[in-house]
Amino acid sequence: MHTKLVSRILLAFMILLLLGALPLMAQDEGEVQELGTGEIEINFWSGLGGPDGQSMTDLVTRFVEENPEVTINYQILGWGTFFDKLSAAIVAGSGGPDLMTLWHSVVPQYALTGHIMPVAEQMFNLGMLDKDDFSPALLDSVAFGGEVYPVPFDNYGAGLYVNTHLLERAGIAVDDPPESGEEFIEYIRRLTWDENGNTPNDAGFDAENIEVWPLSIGWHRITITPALYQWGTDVVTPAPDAEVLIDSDAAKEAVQYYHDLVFEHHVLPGVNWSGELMLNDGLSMYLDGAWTYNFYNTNMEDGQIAFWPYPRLGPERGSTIMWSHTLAVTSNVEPDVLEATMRLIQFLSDNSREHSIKTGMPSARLSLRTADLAEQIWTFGPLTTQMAAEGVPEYQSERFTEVENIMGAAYSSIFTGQQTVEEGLDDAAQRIRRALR
Amino acid sequence: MTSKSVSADRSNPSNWTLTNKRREAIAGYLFLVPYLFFFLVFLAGPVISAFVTAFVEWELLRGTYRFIGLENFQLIMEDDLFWIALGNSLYFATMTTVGNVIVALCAALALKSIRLGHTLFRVVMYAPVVLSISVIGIVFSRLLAPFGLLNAGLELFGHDGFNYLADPNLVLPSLSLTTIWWGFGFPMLIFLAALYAVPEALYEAARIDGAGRWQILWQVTLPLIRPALLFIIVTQFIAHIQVFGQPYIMTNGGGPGYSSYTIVLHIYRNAFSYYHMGYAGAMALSLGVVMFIFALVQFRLLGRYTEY
Repeated sequence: MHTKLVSRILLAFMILLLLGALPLMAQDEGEVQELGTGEIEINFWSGLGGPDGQSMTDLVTRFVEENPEVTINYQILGWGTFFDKLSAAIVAGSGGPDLMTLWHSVVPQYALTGHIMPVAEQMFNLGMLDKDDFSPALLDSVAFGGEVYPVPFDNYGAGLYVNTHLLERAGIAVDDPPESGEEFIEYIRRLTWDENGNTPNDAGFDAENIEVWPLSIGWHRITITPALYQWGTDVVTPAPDAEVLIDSDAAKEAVQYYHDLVFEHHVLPGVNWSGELMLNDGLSMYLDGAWTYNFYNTNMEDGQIAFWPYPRLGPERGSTIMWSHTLAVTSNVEPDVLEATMRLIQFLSDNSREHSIKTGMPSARLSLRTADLAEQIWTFGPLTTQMAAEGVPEYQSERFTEVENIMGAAYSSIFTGQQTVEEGLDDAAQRIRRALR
Repeated sequence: MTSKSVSADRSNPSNWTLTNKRREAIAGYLFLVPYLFFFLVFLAGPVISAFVTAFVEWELLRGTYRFIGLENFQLIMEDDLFWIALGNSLYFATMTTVGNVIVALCAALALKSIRLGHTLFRVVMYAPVVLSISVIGIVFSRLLAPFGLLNAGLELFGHDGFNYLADPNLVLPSLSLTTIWWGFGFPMLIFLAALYAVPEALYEAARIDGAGRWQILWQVTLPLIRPALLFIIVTQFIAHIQVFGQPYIMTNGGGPGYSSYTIVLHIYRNAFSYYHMGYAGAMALSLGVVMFIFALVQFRLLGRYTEY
């Protein structure tokens, strides 16, 4: 009787252990890596995961090898929870990072409230970095009160990944991207096939049984925000005196363009990640960020995927969105840690070309974006050429997280047919105004 | 012995002897001290703090903290997302509580009636309860994906399937079914214990009187397990109106649109993503009041006890 009871308890305990181990096995981020053994400790929180994260880890590891007096407590956190954890740690005053990666769009949240310092300005003044080696538009976007706060590490954008097998099937040349919104729609019609091999231009096209989808519009920050610029508008005007523009007629026209693509031209609304669908020749075009280069580069057959600039759709101007992962330092960092942290930032910036080659993310340093990179990275040429000519840094706001959540939900409502474009954007504008009060 | 003499006796320390009863009482209180400590620090303290927070403007990143009276509650009245989220939470909680009660009761009745494999089935049905919401969320996200296992199964029968988590009409029922599968094991055990407590003689008497199975269920079993039923309904409703992990993990924080946006997600976002701590405190207090009202109604409707 006693033995039976013990064996049952043991069995139950083993089951619990196995079940409890499941989430632990899935855990691949959030752990602190202690790199180096030096006396000066830098707590570095990075939001870069995947190939970006590996490349950054390699650089940080090299830095501590060359600087044995430094230890880096290096932690990779997913972007989904990064800002929640970061802000909580900053407010708590302990347990947070000395150095962190920040999207340039969220910098006002931390700069205007005094939680990060103008480290870039200090490094320019000390001659550690050359101010003229960065895009002025990018530096302006992270400058407040005349001082540049974080150091831009990379400078990337988005564009149109295209499946060359399907371009060939449609008789479209790889070096012939669409020149206008109308031509883009024509391409979409030619790059859609039903189960019988008909396109929407053919009689008998079966819209209920599509075999090859023309386009997935992906994440709204990649797809719709540049379109807003092309219609001469934005979500909000820059911080700190933000004016809400998302319910303007121009914004509604821009979103209506994408709405019509989804509801009239069989474009996937981008609810789910469509990278594999593209590799399986089930998707012709995918609007996505520069970071996806690595995914295709690793998984595609030779030359299956090519890259075009973000298409010109609107009446005002061509444009693409521009982002940057910046390196920011908290305000309360100790002097010796600050000195080592600035050396680390300088090292990362100086080696950002290596990061570009591994990840496809262009360096923020103009001198490191050499022409030969376009031969090594097939997204590089179209991306950097368009960014230099038409790149617009994403809007910023002191309430960026809140505004973005509101916009994400609004686009989701519009593209799943819950609301019209007008209803969705009017509601979003009202909520953003309330958030910015 | 007069009261005066007692008083005189107690003034002398040599007479401070404790009766066994008092000694036991003091030992009892001492045993309660660790619990009371944690209760005060981790429950009562935060509750009081949250109550105070509801009446202040507290913007964490900006560092503002000032008393603003009922202003946060006025903001709640104007916040359409609060009402959307509360509506979603009530819908989810009602659907999930009803589903849980039905599934758990059926499972308990089935378990009580079988002999072979009773323990095995009980363990198997209770097993999902020990899984964390992260595991459940990830597994069911894949199961319910457009190209997931469930749609693959439907395809065998010639059906195209559904976009369970991206369809505004299906998303909350899908989250509810996930939650029922995850959590029905606990109420099942409570029902099972209650069913075993019903005297067998009453069933025999009912059968002798000619009652069928349904009559026995409605007239004997359910009235006699009413306390368990009340306990399950109240605790399940309170738990499910606070749903957070399922939409946070499975629908990207309440999508599509705000179709699965729940009140605790709204409170969480305001507190920890937007740093409106005061406003989040006011919403938490309001949610507490809503839960209290619903619990009262449930006690009122089901609180009668039946004895035979």
